[in-house]
Amino acid sequence: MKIRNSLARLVIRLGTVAVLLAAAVFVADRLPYPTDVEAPFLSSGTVGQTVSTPTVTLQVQGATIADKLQLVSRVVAANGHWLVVEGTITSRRGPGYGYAQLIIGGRTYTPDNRAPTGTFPVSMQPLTAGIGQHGVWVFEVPDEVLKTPTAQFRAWVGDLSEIPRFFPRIPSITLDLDDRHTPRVSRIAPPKSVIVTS
Amino acid sequence: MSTNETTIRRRITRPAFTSRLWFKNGVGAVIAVAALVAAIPVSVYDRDDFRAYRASRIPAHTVGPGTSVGIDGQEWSLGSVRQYGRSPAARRAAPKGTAITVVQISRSGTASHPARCTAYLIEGDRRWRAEEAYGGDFWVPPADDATGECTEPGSLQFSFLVPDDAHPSAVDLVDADRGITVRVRL
Amino acid sequence: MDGGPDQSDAVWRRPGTTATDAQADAQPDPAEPEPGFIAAQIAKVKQWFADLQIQQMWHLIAGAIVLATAGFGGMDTVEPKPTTFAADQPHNTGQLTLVVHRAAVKPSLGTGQRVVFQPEDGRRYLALLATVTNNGTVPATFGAFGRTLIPVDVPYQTAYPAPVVRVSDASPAIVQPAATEDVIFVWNVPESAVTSRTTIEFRVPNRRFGDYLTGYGKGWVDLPTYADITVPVAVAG
Repeated sequence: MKIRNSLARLVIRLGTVAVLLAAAVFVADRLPYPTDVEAPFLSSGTVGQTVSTPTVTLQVQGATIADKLQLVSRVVAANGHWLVVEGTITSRRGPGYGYAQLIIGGRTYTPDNRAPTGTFPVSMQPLTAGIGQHGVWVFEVPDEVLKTPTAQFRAWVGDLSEIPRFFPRIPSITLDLDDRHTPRVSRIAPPKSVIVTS
Repeated sequence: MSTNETTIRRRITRPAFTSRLWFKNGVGAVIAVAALVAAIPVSVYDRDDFRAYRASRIPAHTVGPGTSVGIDGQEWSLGSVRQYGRSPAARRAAPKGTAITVVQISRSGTASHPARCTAYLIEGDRRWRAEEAYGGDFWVPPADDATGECTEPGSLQFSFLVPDDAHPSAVDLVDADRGITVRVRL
Repeated sequence: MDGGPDQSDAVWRRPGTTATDAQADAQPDPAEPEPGFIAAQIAKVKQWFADLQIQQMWHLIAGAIVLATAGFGGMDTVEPKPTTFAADQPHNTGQLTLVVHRAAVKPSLGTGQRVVFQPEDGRRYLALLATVTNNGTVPATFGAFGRTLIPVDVPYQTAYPAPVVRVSDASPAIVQPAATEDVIFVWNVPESAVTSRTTIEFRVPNRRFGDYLTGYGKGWVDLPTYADITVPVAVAG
């Protein structure tokens, strides 16, 4: 009786220690980081719909896919295709620039740095509270990505090209990438952003 | 035997609530929270952040309309607030639905510690930043004795492009650490 | 009165009796069958555990601690084994698939129409032409931190305007996910370090998509393992 008691107790203790240590390693490897905990909340919308969050109002008119980008002095061919998203963005709180991201098939695309000056995100005037601007965001996407049927377009007003921290509410517009909704052209000249008059 | 029973009965009374567990836990929690709060001004890590936060919410000086306040050796008072749809001096006319608001702040005297500032027009949660002299399409150049820089002497003038539905309440002058140095209420 | 502390004739006050006498010990049945082979082995192991001294118990605990340390990554090798790859051969770093073509040392670099990297006194530009495919899900920017290729034994500075440029128009290279781009890696090196060289070795660290050390975000971070490539270099000027 005595021998079995102490053996059982020993086995239970060792087993508990091993399980606790393994669980600690498991949890420690999977802790969320501040950017996961403070991740943005998304306000969904479709093309043509005005999506309002406390910091930004966004309306996407549509998207176009082009092979070549017409700049002032030259024509830039895409490594893939150019996807130009046209929309109106209004800041509701304060000054900033209209940054955006395109999410296609789990991959994140940022506006290309060869887009002409004046297109979003860095428009000629910074975005200010209550004054909307109409313009385009220019993305470069590889060919095979365009076979995906939909894409998510997210835009926000801020000072950084990263998504702001502390639970921002970001509009997320669903774009249909088929020929009917997103026309294909061979050449496109993206216009400068202009203040929307009301 | 009877004295034993009465002694026993007197001991079996309800204890006062100060010895209850919930009371002791509550007192401990209050003390813990008070200690954490008291540690903020003392903690090396927290006190600078807290001071910067307070400075960004509470202006160091406030100038009311019609009053004159001495700040840093200068007398500050609100000069005038004008709205233009089209200013002859600005490069562009204000688009439809917006207006150019020009705020003049009278300053006399010399500052002992001139510091750079950025001007914001405030309405509740919304802010508009002052137009830049270099490249600002809606910048109205100040008169000869006025300037747009806080470091220079003389009165200040700031131009803001605001929407028609704006009812601004104040102009905040913000320093490089995002602390509000002067709030001029309109 | 029964049971109370003052009872004088309680069971436990009686001399010569113990509590265990009240329970009857179960005597082992003499007619129990002999245990089988496996049961005998299990009994032997149990007996071994039960016979352990205190020091041997600590051995077991030390073993458990080592296992836990291994779980947290404390047993990873300090000096990783280096691997090499050759030019015109695709190499996967985790984030990018890299095909190195050739390298050259030049006093200045530019497209046909304009000079992009201006000539500097006493310095040369080490340029490496490569094709880069982004295997990740975020755009690959070639910034000041997290170099894709690092020249070994050659002191370098970041080339201005950008450390990595596109071949097509010399704009700073950003490779979008699933895209393949021809790029040129440029380093600003002192003239004396490269004039007599015929080959230069480059180190390519492997990467994984994980949390940054500061904790504020996820991105491609360097692993301690890397691969080397020795590239013949044509020195001009």
